Order: sequence, then structure tokens, then C-alpha cells
Amino acid sequence: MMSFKGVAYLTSRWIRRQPIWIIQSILYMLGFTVIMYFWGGAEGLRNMVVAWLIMSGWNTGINVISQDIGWNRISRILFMYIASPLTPFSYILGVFLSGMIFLLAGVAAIGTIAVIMGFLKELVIGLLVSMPLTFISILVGITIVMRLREGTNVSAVTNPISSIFSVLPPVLYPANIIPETIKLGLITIPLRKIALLVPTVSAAEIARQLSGICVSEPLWYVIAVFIFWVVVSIVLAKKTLKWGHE
Amino acid sequence: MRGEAVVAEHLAKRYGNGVWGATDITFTVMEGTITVLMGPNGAGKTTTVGMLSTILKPTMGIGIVGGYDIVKQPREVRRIIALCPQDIRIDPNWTPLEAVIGYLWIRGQSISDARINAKKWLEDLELWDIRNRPAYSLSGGQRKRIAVAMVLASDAQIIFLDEPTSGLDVEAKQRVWRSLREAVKNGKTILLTTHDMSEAETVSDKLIFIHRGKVVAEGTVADIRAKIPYHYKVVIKKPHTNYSFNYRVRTLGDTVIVYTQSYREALDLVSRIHAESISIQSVTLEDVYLFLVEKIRGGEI
Repeated sequence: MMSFKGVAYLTSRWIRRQPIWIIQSILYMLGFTVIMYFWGGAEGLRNMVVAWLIMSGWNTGINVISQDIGWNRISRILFMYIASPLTPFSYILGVFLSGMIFLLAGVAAIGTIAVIMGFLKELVIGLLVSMPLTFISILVGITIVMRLREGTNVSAVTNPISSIFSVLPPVLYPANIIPETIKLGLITIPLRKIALLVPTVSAAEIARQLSGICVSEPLWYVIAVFIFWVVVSIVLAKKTLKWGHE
Repeated sequence: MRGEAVVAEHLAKRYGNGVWGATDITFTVMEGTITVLMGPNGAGKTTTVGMLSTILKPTMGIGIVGGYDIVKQPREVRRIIALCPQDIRIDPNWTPLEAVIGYLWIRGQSISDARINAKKWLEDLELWDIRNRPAYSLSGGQRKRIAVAMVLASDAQIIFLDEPTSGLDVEAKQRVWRSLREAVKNGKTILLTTHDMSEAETVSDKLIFIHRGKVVAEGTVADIRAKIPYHYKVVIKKPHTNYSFNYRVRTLGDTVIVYTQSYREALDLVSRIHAESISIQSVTLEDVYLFLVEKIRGGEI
């Protein structure tokens, strides 16, 4: 069935009326690029290329795609879709494709910078790692938005989650600049290992290691964390996502 | 000969919080008709539509839509139905044309078919002139009509409309009713919910009264009216003295409503009463409903 095209068409209607969102997203990225370049030079920018792709992947899933699904649910458009020949796969594919507009706009901008600076390896690896991360973030996002009650402002829930996972932990900055451990009284806390448990951080670390930027923890550890998140997000979404028959 | 489009047998739904949304819903909807589910807020109309449109899973009972079981064959059911949910909020960025075309595209229509159908139904619901205006610039009634146009333009054989006219002005309601009758003329089957008795009376081929999750009466308007022995009511506003009547009486503050079996009885009553205003009216579905509720409370149903 080609029904996903209809979903993508309807879900992407905002672009014609509110294109400023994309411009804002690109300006935000350019702002970080300037900060990173003038503060960290070419090495800072190299980090930035990887970090931005990881952040974009995460934000696209949880903030754009899940927000659309949450809005469809709260506005009851989702019920119209369920009571139709549309399949859940086509629905999510359609919403995903419309959400890609954001991701592609960001990738085009950061891709241009990466090509100019010669960071092609970082660009390709960042893109490859951001794909499964987007998948995790869509599933985590769906798990959250499917539990929202009527009247909830969907973006008021997804925006903070998106920021907490992308701006706060070591995504824009490498994990090796935070202390390996910290001591709280008699207890030694493995801070870096804990930070790397965050899916965005482990994804950024994988991309940085594969690009040869830096190594914070063994690769097997961050890959294991990442696989754990893939499994957890699938299990969570499977439990939450119901296509009718609630 | 018309077949059965929808069959509900003892459908019941218990929500996660333990509340029963419906306790015993049994009725049939014939093909090519408009059947109206009526009842006050919280009666179980939306729950019933939710179960039949596969949004909700029944806790008990059987539901057959277009010959398919709503629990065992949801995919088959979804292929032949369309739903306009209660309080639907059309995306403010959609124009009427985009909304209908997009929805038809989702349902598998080709772009060219979707355009033809969208034009027909947007014209029918008087939305064609504003087809390219985003929904955020339209009135609430116009937005609601977009949702109605979306489902009527679809190829669904059976259409569920949950309070599609609530909040609409009289003219807009008339437009929707006209379109619903037009859809039925083209072979569609419609199950509509409302708590507007005049809407039910105007648009329905069959009525189903729901009260506290149970079907309490069903039939044509005439069948339902025949459930009570009264045909007329004398509405007496501000009577000059306190009259006593040998008829069934309902008091609304300073207004007394007296129910009679015949017009002659009503006329006779009018000749004997002095009040600020007196009128004779036919018994409405609202009156029938109130009597039915009284009967339920009295354990007669």
C-alpha cells in the first residue's frame, strides 16, 4: 500500500505555512558551528559535525516524529487513520518521511560545512550512527506520547526530553573531557561510564571513535549500551503502541 | 432487500479505570440507511462507536461490521469503514482541499480520484470556495465540516460519525444533514451519534436510544413515538391559578406541560385554562426520551 504517501503529505503541510521552523533549525546549527570553530578550531568543528548529526537524529525522532504522532492522537486524527485501511507501518513510515524534512535540512547544512572542511569521514559515520539512534528515539518518543492524556501539550513533554538527552550530557562535547570517576564520600562513582549509558552519548562516542576523534571508553562497552537501548526501545514501544483495540 | 451492515450483540466495554462505558448494546443497522444513536452525555454512544470502528476492544459481546468480526477481523473491518470522531481537531495547517485529498490518498485512492471526490464533497458541504484557506483561518463549524467531508468523500461503505453537528449553527447542520442523506442515496450506510433530538428526528431512518450504556428503545421515529401513549402536549406558561389535571403533567418552574392522547383532549384543556400563553404541540422525541428514562427509573424497562 502506498498510503504512507498520504500520511507524509498531510503531516508535512506545516512546511508551506511555517517554513521558519526549518530556518530556525539551520540557524541554530550555524550558531553552534561558529562557537565550535572559533573556540575549538578545526578539531572543534570536527567534533561538531559528528555531534550535530547525532543530535539531529535524536531530535528528529523524539521531537518531530513523536510530536506528530502525539498531536495526531490528541487531536483524534489518529482515530480516523486507525478506522481506515492504513496500516501502522505505513502510518509511521509516512510520519517518518515528513519528519525527515527537518533532518535533511540540517544534514544539508552540516554536510556543506563538512565537505568544505574535508570532514567527509565524520559526515558519513555520523550519518550511519544517527540512523539507528533515530530509530531508538522514535520508539522512545512513541512510548511517551502514547501515554499522554487529552489536553496535554505534546511539545511541552517532548522538547525537554529532547534537550535533556542532547544538550546536557556529552554529545556536543566528547565524553573524555569529563572525569572518569568522582568521589562522593566513600563512594567512587564511575561518572563517564554512567554518562555513556545515555543513548545519545553512546551514539556520539561510537561515531567519534570510528571517526578517530577520541576514545573515552572501550568500543565494546558503548556498542553494548547502544544495543541495549535498541532492545529496550523496541520492547517499550511494542508494549505501548496499539493500533486500535484499546 | 437490504442486508445488515452492522450488528451489535450485547456489546460492553469496561475501561482501564474500572468504569463501564457500555453495558449491553444490542442493535442492527441496515445497509443504505442512517441510524442514529441517541442519548444524553455519558450514555455510551461514543464507546459504542469506538468499539464498532475498532478503536476500542469490547470487554464482552459481539460486533459484526460489513460481515466481519470487529475483534477477530479488524483489518477487514477497517477497509470498509470510515470514522469521524467526536471533537476532532483538524490540523490548523491543513486546507480543506489538502485534508480531503490527503485522507483519500491514505485510504488508497489515486490522486485523480481523490481530487474528483474532494471537489464533489467540498462543494456539497459548501467548503469549495474556501478550499485553499488553512484551517486556522476558518470557523469551528467549517473545520468540523472538513472532517465530515473527509469521511463522506471516502470509498468506505459504512461511516461512523460521532456527534458531527455538535456546535454547528442551524444552517451548517442543514448542510451536513443534506450531505448525509446524499451519501445514503449513493449506497453508503451511516451510524451517527447525537444528543440533539431534532437532528435524530430529521435525519434518521432508524433511532436507537441508549441510556447508561444500554439500548432502551429502537425503531423508526414512529415506532419510538408509539412507545408512549401521548401524542400531544399543552404547554401552559404562567397559569393564572393552580390547576389540577387528570393527565400526565411535567412542571418546569412557572410552565406546566400536560400530555394528552388526542388533539380533542388538548383542545378541551385549552378551552378551560387561563394563562399568559397556551399552545398545543406534537409530542417530540425529547418527550418520549424523558418518559422512557422515567420508565427505566421505575424499573419498567
